[in-house]
Amino acid sequence: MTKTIAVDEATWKKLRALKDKLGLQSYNDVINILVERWHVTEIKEAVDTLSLDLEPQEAVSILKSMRKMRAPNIDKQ
Amino acid sequence: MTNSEELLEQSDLLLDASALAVLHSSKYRDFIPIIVSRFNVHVTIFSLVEFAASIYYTRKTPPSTSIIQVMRKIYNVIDTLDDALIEKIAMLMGELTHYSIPATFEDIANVVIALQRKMVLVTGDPERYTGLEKYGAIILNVEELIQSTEEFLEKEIKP
Repeated sequence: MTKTIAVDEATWKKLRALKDKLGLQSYNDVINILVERWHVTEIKEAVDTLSLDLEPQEAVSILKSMRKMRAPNIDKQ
Repeated sequence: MTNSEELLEQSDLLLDASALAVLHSSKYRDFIPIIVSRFNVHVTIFSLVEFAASIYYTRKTPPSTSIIQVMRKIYNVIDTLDDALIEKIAMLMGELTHYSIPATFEDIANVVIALQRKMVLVTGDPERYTGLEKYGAIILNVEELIQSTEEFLEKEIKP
């Protein structure tokens, strides 16, 4: 089922320009790409907020040492 | 398509604290927006607490940042357990104790939730689940998720 949304002339021109630039077939695709990009940007900002300056192995070994402190017998199987 | 790629295509992902640690490291954090836009990615509140504790321990983040609130923006956070899950977690804890298999509550909860909700459990520390694999959870090394993301990016960049 399709739904109709109303946009003003200026917004419609911007959407049409973007549709042509991206070579998309429909405005549905344009809006989907805009929503997707917005999500990616939001997530990127959230990820950057944490800004951990750790290498992967370093981050995992910190977790491992914290586990050992909490449960000393955990790796003695 | 390899087995791990098929798994990734077909299932939701459940990240444990060690997978979060690897993905949020300086080397891989740019992959996170791509991963969460390609897959349904879940994290239990228990893994979040474990991961957040490691961040507070290393003091790598400004004190004003609420790690949990930031993580909620990125992942689907599982922060309630229904009765069936609680029952299964308790049963597995009892069984592991019976057979003297040591495991933390977080790991047991992750295995049970992954099993019950048909998710792939992604970890940066597969040794955590030694003794727990036999219960049937599908466990994937986070390196395979990273590799799949690298391959996806290569395909996207190439014309």
